[in-house]
Amino acid sequence: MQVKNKDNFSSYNPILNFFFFVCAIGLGMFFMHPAFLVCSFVLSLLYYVTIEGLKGFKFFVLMVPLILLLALINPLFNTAGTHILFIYFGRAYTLEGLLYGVAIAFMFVSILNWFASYNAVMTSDKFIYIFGKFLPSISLVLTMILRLVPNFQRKASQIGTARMCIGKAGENTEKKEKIENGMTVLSGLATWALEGGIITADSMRSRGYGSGKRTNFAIYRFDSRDLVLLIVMIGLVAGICVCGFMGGAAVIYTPVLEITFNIYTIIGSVMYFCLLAIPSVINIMEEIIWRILRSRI
Amino acid sequence: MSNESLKKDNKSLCISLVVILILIPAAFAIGNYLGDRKMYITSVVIMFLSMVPFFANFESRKPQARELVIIAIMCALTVASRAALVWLPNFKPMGAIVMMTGMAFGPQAGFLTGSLGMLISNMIFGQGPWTPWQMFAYGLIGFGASFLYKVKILDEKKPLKCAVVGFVTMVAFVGIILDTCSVFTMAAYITKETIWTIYLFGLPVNITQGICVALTMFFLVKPIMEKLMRIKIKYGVLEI
Repeated sequence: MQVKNKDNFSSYNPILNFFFFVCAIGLGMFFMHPAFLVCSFVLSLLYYVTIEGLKGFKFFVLMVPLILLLALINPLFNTAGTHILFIYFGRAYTLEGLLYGVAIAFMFVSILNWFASYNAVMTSDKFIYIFGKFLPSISLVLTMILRLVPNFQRKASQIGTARMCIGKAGENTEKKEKIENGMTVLSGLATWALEGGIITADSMRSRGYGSGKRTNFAIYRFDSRDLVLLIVMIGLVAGICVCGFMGGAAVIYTPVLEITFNIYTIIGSVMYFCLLAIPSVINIMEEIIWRILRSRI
Repeated sequence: MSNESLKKDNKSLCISLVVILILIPAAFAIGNYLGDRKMYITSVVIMFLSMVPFFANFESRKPQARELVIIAIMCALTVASRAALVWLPNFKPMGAIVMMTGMAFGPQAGFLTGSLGMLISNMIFGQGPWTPWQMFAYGLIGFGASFLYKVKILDEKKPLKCAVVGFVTMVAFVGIILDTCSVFTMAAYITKETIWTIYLFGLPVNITQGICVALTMFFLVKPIMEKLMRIKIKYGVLEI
C-alpha cells in the first residue's frame, strides 16, 4: 500500500474494496432518481478528495465543462416534454429534456469519479489477490504481463537507441522512415521476447511448475473488522435493492416530470448515502483520531 | 485422453452451457424488464458472462508453462507496442498484434491476448466504464482472426490484404463496439439520432486507429508470423 495517499479504506481487505466499487458503480449506473444522484455525486467527489486532496478538486474543475456539455447537448436529441424553453430550426428544446440531460451528466461524472478512486485504491496486486484463488492460471499470466510490460518498454528504447547509434534511425526523419524504424524495433523486440519466453518457461518447468497444487501468498488478512464491514455493506445493498424494487427510486423525466417520493425513497436514499459514505467516513474518522492522539502527546 | 482430464473438460463444458443457455438469456430478460436506461449494466453483465467460457476452459485445461508464458508475452507486447513506437505519438498497433496472435496460436490464445492485454493496459493507464467493452472487442478480434486465417482471408503472404482486413476490423467492428459504449454511458435517449451522432463523432478516431493497424499489419505480418510459427513448430507450443 502506498503511504502517499492517506487512504484508510485501502487498508481493509481488497475483497471489501472491490465489492464497494462494484456496488457503487453498478448502483450508480442504475438510479436516475435525483436524491440518489445527489448522494452518488457528492460522496464520490468527497471520497476522491479525501484520497487525492487538492488533485481531487482539480479533477472536478475539469469535469465542469463536461457536465455542462452533456446536460446541454442531450435535449437536442429529444423533443419530448411539455415545457418548451425555445424553438430552434423548428425543433423544441424542452425543460424536461434539459433536466434529463443534467441527470445523465451527473450520473456520468459520478461514475468517472468512482473510477478515479478505484484506480487509486485497487492496485494490480489487490486485483490479482481477489481473482488468484479461483483463476490461478489467469492470475499468473496477469502477474507475468505486469512484470513484462516495463521490461519490454525498456528493451524497446534500448533497441531504438542502438539503431540510432549505428545510423539506422534518426530523430528528424520523415514520417515514412519513422514508421519503418518503429516496425523494425517492434519486430526485433518480438524476437527477443519470444526467445526469452521459452527459456523462462523451461526454467519454470524444471522448477516444478504444474507438478502440484499452486499456492499463493498475499499480504492481506481478513480481520473481524473486515467481516463486520462486509456484513454492513451487504445489508445496505440488499436494503437498497429492496427499496428500488418497491419503486422508491422510480422517476420519469419525459414527457412530464414525475419524481416518486414515498417512504421507500427516504429509506432507500438514506441507506444509499450510508453505503457510499463508508470509505469517506473511515478516512475522516481516522484523520480525526490521529489528530486527537497527536494533540495528547 | 486420461480420465481426469476428461472430467475437467466436462466441468468447463458444463460451466459454458450454464452460462450460454441460462445466465445470458436471464440477463437479457432482466435487462428488458428493467427498461432502457439499464442498457449499460445489462450489456456489461452479458459481456462478462460471454467471456466466462473462455476463461473457464483455459483454467480447466491446466495450461503448460510454455503456453502461459507465450500468452503473457503476446499480451505484454500488445501493451508495450506503443513504447516501441515512441517516435510516433498516438500510434496504436495493439489490434494488429492481437490479430497476429489469433492467426498463429488459435482462437483461445487470441481471445485471451486481446482481453487480458486490454485489462492490463487499463490497469496502467486507468480503468473506466470502457474497460469491459475494450476487453470484449479486442478479445473477439483475436478470436475472429484465427478463423479468418483458416479460411485464408488473412494470409501472411499477402500483407496488403491483411492490412485491408485490419483496417476494416478496426473501423467497422472495434470502433462500433467502443462507440456503443459511449452511447450507453452518455446519451440520455437511445435513438437513431444519438447513435448516428456518436458514431459520426467517433469515426475520425476509428479511422486513425484503423490506419495504424493497417500499417502495422502491412509491415509486420510477414516477419512476426514467421517468428511465431517458428516458435510454434520448433517448441511445439499452442498447436491448434
